[in-house]
Amino acid sequence: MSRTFAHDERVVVVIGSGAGGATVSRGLAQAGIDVVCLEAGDHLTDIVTDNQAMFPRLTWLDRRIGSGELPPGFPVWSGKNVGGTTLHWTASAPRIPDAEFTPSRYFGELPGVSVIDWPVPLAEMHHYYALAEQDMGVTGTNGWPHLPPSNNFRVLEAAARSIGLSKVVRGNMAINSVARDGRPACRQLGFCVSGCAVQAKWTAANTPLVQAQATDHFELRPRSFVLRVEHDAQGRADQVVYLDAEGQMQRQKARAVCMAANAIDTPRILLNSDSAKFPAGLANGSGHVGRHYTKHTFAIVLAIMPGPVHMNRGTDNLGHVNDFVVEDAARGFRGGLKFEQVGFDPVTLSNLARPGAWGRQYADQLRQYANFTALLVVGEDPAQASNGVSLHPTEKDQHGMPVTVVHYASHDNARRMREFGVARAHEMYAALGATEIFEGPLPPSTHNMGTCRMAASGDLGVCDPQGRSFEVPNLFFSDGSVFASSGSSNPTLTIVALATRQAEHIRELMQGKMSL
Amino acid sequence: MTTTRRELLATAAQLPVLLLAAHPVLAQLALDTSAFTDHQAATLKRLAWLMFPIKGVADSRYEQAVWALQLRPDVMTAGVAALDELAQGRFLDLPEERQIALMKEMETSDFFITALDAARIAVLNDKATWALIGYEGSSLEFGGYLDHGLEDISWLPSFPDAEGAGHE
Repeated sequence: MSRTFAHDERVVVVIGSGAGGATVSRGLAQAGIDVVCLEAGDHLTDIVTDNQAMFPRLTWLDRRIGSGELPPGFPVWSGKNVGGTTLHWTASAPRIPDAEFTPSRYFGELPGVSVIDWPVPLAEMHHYYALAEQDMGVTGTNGWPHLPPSNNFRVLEAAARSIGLSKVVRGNMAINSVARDGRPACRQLGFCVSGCAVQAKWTAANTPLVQAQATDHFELRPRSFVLRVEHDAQGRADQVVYLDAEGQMQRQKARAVCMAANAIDTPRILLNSDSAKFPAGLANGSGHVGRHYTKHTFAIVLAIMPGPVHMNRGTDNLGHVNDFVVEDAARGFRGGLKFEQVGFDPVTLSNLARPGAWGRQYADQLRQYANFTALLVVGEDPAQASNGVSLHPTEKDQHGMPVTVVHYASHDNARRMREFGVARAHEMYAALGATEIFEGPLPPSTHNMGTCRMAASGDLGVCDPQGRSFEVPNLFFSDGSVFASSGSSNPTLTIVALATRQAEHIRELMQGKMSL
Repeated sequence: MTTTRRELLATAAQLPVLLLAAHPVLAQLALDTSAFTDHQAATLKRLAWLMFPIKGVADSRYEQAVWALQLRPDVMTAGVAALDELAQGRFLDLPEERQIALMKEMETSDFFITALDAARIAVLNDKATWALIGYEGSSLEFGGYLDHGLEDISWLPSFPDAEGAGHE
């Protein structure tokens, strides 16, 4: 049953209750290790099937500044809830393909990249991927059938087949295709990104947090905004400073800290946690904290088809076109990409497809809403040291903390990959008789990775292959910031696999010879 | 029942323009736009229409955009004055093509972008508009699309070995 811990009890403090934070919390709590999880957001109740009504209740709207190619006022679309961004995610849950764990083979020669390989053995990734798939109820694994095809899936499939592509599959989804784990099967409501009203979709809130709460070793503190992580004279993290639900500053003592505030706010907190011993930010002697940000080479292509599609019906991202996942330098760029079908409600469509558009032609397009279809181009994005998270020198947020600046500029390879993907998407939709096809601008980023990356050694990254800081021995990274590279897959399954593995490792450290 | 301007400002003190433009409950009330002169309100309404001229969308949608824009009265009144100046008279008196040309000139201004955002939300976040453009909205009431047209598409070319035919 749930516990409460005093502020001066030395617990493991997990910052963030999303995919990574909830999973590592559960693993530790189930092993009898006391955990306090601090979450900036609140519980989400009363989910309604209305994207505009839900958006302000789900979304991190604290000010961030986008730089480079990111929308300046809203560069990143992440969550602020108990359960983090998993309340919002589409639940697309593919593994990163084996070949993408060693991207230096094809990205390494590109000018200006800071690409490294993953320092985790593939056999371990397979093992923990399998556990995560079982844990999350991923369709296409463990005997769970794929979700049924929708109109929008059939359009993607027919479009791909019409230009000779053949690797069209229904992707693995962390959405119940059958009732299981106390949650019902999916009814294809079509509002996944606004929270699943029936809880068919796996979230950190409905699964690992519930399991953690069932132990005697876990306390969740929502509406707790972490400001800093502080350390003792030996350079070990020893307390977390945060604003509680009433806005009062609190200090929770820690025997270890797990950073799981997502790839934007994990480095942000560390950069804000500078000290005499860590003048560039806690655990940032290497200078890598916040850097090497990857977000997937990304594009949205939309089309108005010759007949009705109703792209709003059902889940997004079910359909994957994988013909270009295996890289081929003959295409004129390195690395792989895929297409995933996606749908939008009218307001989101207008925000993403042609923001700033207006007038008769646009109104005529909107009037054909029922005939719209869309896809995402999702591709491997080579790490660049210049892309990343930093603190604005003067702008402050509502807590008086420096506003986060998120900078992203496409590598030339990403540009060519995007052009290729968009050109193929054009061909696909044209082959089906699309009356109009257009590319949306780069949207707020939903896949954010690599800003406190793991590496084989401390000169190349922030943490070791277990996500343990090279510089602060009791500081761990449990979210997408650890990714050594982006891969071409939606990141959440990988986050859950790594956090499951990390919890076991932390337990071994705590119960073994090393004091932690 | 008329919402007075005082009530509007009291209710909307914390709401940005967009939330006001989208507010479903407030939309039901007769909207008081007394922060603007009749001329300003009419100009802003014409602007909202030309931004999203979707035939069949109710007048009240464009009126709600104007009503919401009262939260930025200085920017809006200055913008209307600028439009009339560009028109060398009254923007409202110009033929449509001329009006559109002047709007293009003001496209990047804070005034235009604010008005555009309000118009977009007021027009597109509305059940009647959705029915007009073919967006079905919430499916929770009838148990989701699983048995309600999830896969009823009829005009695609067929491929005999298509992936996962039907429900498994």
